[in-house]
Amino acid sequence: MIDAAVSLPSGTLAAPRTTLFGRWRGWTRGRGSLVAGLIIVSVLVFVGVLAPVIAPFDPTEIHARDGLQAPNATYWLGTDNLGRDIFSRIVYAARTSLLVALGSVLVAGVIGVPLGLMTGFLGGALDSVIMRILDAILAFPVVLLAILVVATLGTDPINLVLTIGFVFVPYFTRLVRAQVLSLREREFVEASRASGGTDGHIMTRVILPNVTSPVVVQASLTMSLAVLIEAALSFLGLGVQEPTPAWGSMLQQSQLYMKQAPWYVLAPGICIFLAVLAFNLLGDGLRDLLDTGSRRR
Amino acid sequence: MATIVIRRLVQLIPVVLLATALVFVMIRLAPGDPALQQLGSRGARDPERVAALRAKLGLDQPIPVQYAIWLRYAATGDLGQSVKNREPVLDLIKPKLLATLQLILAALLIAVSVAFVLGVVAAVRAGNWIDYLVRTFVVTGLAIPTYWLGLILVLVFAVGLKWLPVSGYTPFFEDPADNLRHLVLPALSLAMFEAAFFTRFLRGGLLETLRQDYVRTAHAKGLSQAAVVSGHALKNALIPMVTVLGLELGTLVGGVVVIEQVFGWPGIGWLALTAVKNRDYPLLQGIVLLVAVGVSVANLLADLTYTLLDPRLRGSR
Repeated sequence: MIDAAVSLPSGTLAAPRTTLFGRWRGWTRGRGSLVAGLIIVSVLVFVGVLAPVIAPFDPTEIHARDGLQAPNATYWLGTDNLGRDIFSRIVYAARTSLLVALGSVLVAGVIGVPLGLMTGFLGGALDSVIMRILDAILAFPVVLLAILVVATLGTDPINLVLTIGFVFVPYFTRLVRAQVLSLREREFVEASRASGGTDGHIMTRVILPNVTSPVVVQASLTMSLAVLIEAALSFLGLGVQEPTPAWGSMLQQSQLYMKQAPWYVLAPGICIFLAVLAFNLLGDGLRDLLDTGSRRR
Repeated sequence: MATIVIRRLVQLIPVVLLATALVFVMIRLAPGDPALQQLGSRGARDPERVAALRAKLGLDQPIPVQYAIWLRYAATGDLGQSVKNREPVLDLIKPKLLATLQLILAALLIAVSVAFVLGVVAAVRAGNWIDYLVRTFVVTGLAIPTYWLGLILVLVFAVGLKWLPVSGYTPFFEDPADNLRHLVLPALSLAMFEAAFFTRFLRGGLLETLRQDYVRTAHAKGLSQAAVVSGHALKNALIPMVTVLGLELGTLVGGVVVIEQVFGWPGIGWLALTAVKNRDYPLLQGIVLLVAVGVSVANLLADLTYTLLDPRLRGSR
């Protein structure tokens, strides 16, 4: 065995693995959270996008004679009280949940990031006023605030996106503001100012690129919260309305038929759990990868 | 210390005022007229009666005036009357507040106890299989929706094993044993997320403390691992937990809103949702005021306790 190894041309044993699989293994080492998060998110996105292909039935199609069927060859996860295929509804609900969560995070980011940039960079009365308003918003538990806003705006999907987005604006603003406060006295910002850069230029071209990493991490972690809040609102009857499938509203219905159809409660909950887990893992993995300095303990 | 307390209390006032103003405006902008709701479909057809009731409820005034009137009464402890029940808001809130507080305290107690054991064990055995199990618990606990966990617990322990009731509530002073039987499942559901969160926090804090020089010195003096952890490391690792406990109260109140629906627990969350559905402005406004004040005061108390426990912070704030 040793002889054989010795007889190999020099350098063969030490040659790095350059196969695609080898590179993938090397990259993923120590990045378990990121990889696991990426895989689950990809699967969920894949399921959401290809819902019409994957789902064997129309999610709103009622089969009155097949109500509350246990999982079987025709209905893989059983049926709900109206005989609708639970698997098809779960698949389509992935689309709803991910779209609402993504939209909410975009709304929160689009409002929160510029606010954070302005309050942190310009300071003064604007900073004081906006931060006090955000403190006031943060005095409410997120779910309670979301209930209040959705009660004001109504339960339309767009309103749901705006509601959840609004609730998370302070998270982005405070994060970006804190970053800007530590960046605005740095040499490269001073250099830009000295070379005649306007406030707008410094904020958008000099500081903004430097706060992107923490914002990306925050966006992923906020996605998980947005999925939870959307599901909670739908569970309370204030989110996505019937007959549009949503994991939260499916759970609400499953509670009514817990004795007759205990399996019904499992699938929507597992989906919410997986989505939240995936975005948490992705956020943690991104934080480690980008090393934003706010590592979770 | 007194200066810090006064300064923080003063800072609290604009936050609470802004919070209530925000909610006041939001509720007034919500669709649906409480006067029409109160009069019912028949009464709503009579414009004179509607106008009279709107004037009586103060709804014909501009929103800032309505807010000023509400604030003036709220300052004296009068939160108005429920539009639906026609009872003083405070009388409706009080019993629900007690039920919610009981649920939150029970959940906190479970969460802190679990986190204490798991956090310490994981930090002391960092890197081995126990730590791995605890970290799996943390990742799972942070992702599991409380209301789904509640349903699963109901499915197993109430519907399946029939050990505990599915839902409902008995006041503690009426029947303590029954009250506790009803409390177990909602408290456990609510505690899961917090237990995972506190465990991660305590494990992280303790791991960091165990790497400090003074802990190494304690080891060098020949103290046992248990003595080092309990006598030196744990004390310092627990101090930041106080702040986290205060901050997590908001999350708990948010969780309570949903958990109370799952278990039919007649608390503040349940009342808030009923108020939203009935467009009961005064009731909702009263609940929000109490929640905003409660959460802000809890944060303040946590901050002050932290300052008190950590002498380095007393001079710096």
